[in-house]
Amino acid sequence: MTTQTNTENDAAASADSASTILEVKNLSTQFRTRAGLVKAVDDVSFSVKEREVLAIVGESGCGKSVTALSVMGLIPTPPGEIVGGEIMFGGKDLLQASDDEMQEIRGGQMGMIFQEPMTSLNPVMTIGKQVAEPLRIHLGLSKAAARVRAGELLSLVGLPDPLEKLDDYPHQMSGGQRQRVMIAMAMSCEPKLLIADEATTALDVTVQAQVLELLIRVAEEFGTALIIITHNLGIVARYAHRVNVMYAGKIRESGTAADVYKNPGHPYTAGLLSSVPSLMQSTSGKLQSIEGEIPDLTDLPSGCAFGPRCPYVQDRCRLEDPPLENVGDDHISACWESAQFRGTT
Amino acid sequence: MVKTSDSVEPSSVDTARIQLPYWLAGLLRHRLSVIGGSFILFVAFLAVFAPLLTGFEPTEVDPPNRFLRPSFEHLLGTDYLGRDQFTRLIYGARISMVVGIFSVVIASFIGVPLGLTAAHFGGWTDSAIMRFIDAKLSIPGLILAMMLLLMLGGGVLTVSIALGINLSSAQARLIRSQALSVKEREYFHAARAMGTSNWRLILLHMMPNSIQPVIVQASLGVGFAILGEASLSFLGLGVTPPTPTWGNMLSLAFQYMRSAPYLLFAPGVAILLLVMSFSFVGDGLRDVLDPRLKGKI
Amino acid sequence: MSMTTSTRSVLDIRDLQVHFPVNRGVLFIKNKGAVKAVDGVNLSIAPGETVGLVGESGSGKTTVGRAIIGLVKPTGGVIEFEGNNVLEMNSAALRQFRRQVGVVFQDPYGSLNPRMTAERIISEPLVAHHLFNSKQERRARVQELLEIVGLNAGMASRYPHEFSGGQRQRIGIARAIASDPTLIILDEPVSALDVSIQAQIINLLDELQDRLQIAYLFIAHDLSVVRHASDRVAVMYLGKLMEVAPRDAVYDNPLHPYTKALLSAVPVPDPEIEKKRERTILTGDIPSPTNPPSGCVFRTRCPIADEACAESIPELREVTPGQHVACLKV
Repeated sequence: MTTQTNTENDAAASADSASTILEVKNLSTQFRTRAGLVKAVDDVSFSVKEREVLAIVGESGCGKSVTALSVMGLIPTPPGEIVGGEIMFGGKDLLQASDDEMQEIRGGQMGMIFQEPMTSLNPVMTIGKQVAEPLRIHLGLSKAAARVRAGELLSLVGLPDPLEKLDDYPHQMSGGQRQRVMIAMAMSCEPKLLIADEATTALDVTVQAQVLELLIRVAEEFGTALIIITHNLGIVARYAHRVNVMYAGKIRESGTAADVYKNPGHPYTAGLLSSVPSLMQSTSGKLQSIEGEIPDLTDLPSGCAFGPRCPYVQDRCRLEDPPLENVGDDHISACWESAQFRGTT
Repeated sequence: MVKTSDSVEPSSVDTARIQLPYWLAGLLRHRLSVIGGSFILFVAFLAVFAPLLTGFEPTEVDPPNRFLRPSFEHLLGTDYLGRDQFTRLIYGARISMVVGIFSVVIASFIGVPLGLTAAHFGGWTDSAIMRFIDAKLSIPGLILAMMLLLMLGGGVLTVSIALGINLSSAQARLIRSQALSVKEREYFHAARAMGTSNWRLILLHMMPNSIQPVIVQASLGVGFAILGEASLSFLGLGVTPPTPTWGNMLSLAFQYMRSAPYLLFAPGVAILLLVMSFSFVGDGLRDVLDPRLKGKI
Repeated sequence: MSMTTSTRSVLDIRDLQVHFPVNRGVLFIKNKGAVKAVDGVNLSIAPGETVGLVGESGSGKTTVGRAIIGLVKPTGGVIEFEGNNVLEMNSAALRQFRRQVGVVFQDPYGSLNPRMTAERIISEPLVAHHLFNSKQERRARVQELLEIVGLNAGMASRYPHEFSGGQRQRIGIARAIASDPTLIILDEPVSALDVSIQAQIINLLDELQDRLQIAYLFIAHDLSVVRHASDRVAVMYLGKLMEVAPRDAVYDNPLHPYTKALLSAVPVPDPEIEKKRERTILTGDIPSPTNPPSGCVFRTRCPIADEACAESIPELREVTPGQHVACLKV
């Protein structure tokens, strides 16, 4: 057991001066489905600085996972296709990179961990072999050296008896342990960027806390920047420096976590925050929910996609989609009515 | 605005197009199923309208004209008794189709209730039913059918029963495994929790949600039954001559393979194509009815 | 929502045990002990009250719910509904009990039969309990129920796949209240839903409780949601209750070390609070319920456990008024 207070957010200050390692510009990813064309990610731009922890938050279908898969070059084509934009990483546009180059980057300079550690691990291969694989491919280690390094990595991620675990199979481990293995694999080549896509959603809350603390600690140790993709607003508040709020394929708000939570610039963000009941104090009566349903991506409303659910909606919102504009220092939001809306909150 | 139809198939969500049932729309997009389905319809047409399509009787003996080669008068030639092969082929299609479909219907009527009962009640009921089916499976199908036919005598119905019993084991196993997964679904728990009777649980919740693979299996089973009938007829155990079936035509043709090899061709190819057609349709159904693929085809 | 401990309870669970035998072997089946999914749970629910039941996987919270509605058979204990032991009821009494207890499940996709229309789904309990004789009356009731849960009566003829997740959960709720129950078991009713939809469903459940005076057993792993929804909260771990108390006591003054750790593991959506919060990160995984630790089941992860905890099993006792804790160190 460890007791500690939060220190991670202090790193945000130092991140400001650091250099940008990932720059996504006007990324658009579409899927062709029987029901029609789905603009899963629509004109999304953001950047990640060295050692920064960026959260992308939103509900199902908002495009947060597709954004991550696009960055990793893992969009299944067909039905998916990246139709525009640039993804600059290490001085190179990943969208122009060949398959071989992407292979080299994935698992090398850029890693990803997914929600389901059971399906991301090969059930018939030992843990040791699986952790050693990226070491042999990307670092060219010998079989014996890779095994030694794999053992070190497993002990780094806090698995008990790491050397014995090398010969275990995934089904012999708990969900939390498997997610630790995934982290060990993702960190094995000391990547510059690690994307965690709902990596702790399937875990119990006490195990989730362990795994997240581990992720943050390891990322700090290796100087890795993190993109945390989650629907959990608490995780964002606890760990992220910056946050992108997505809705219906677009970033609607972006800023430092402290700013966005304290003074949300978009009615959707405000609605999400007030939808979550408080852990810290008892509330009774109605929660302030967002009315209506998440829109169908094949049939988005005209103008602002959040318009039909927005309590501040005006005629203009139904006609034109608002662009992202500054609402504060390093804080942007896409809302025609943000001035009025923020005045009232 | 309440729908009164009792149809279990949800209508297609895609309202832009003409409203075909989704499984039919899916099948039509599956090219091999369309080919297979067309061939089955074609054979069915020949079988139904056989008397109108030929001037001969299938059992009409004409000794002077035996072993005639194909000609305009006898499209597929004549056999050792001078019977017209084409006439026998299209009349034989009746038997093959009827036996094929009957067998599968019988198999489903035996297998589905057995499988559902086993799955729903579990415990020793399940063990007893499944051990019985295992025991039956350990006897080769053809031998079991032969035993039944020797006891009951030949004929369309008995052949269908013999083949149907054979096929029923697979149907029972299949629906049982599906039903077991339905049993773990929450809607099944919800229905049980509100005190729904066993009868309603099985009929309303279990069966409709586990029947799809059985339908697929059934369409593949038709092909198996047609082959089975042919094998039994070939062994002289099927439908009694002189009634023509594709199987006994093939069996007769074998006896004259040296002198009249062309006699083998028509029934052989007919069986092959029909069995293939049913299996194409079965494959198509499997793809279309797979709920994971719903809306993606 | 009010505390009504003085009145008689709707549901009274005493020493509930659900043990699943673990059998190994092919021909010679040997009983290799049991998974103690629920082991000695005491819980009562007053009329119109909401009791939150929280815990992580393997805690047995779902099994408690399933034992109440008869989906699993308890191996010991008493489940009393309005004074009568459910486990000894004859079939007529059981039928009456089932009419009075509704259930809502977690998965809005799996809990509705995909082959039935909304109308048939909602009228199922009406048919099962012969509540309306004519089809017209049933239909009218279904339309009324649809409107109560915030759906359009015209949607009655649609199939589940034509509804969104939130709408499906509303249908599940309409089915649960159809037979006028006095108690509803809510098994993770909002955890499969998006945040903005969750709040709608919680509000709906709240509204229905005020209107129909239904008691809820609210089973969930989301501690914030449980705080909002519950009057009292019970915390389970590995088949046993760790702490039972009014919600403010559990959240503002937790006494059991597990409750404390559980609460501190939940990240709060407020960076300023998060900066200041003390965090207790438990080490290790939840032990397997097949082979739980001796003595106190939490001791292997407990920050304050000692040798005594391995030897005796702590009883749930009232430490402060209304607050029951199972810990030797409290």
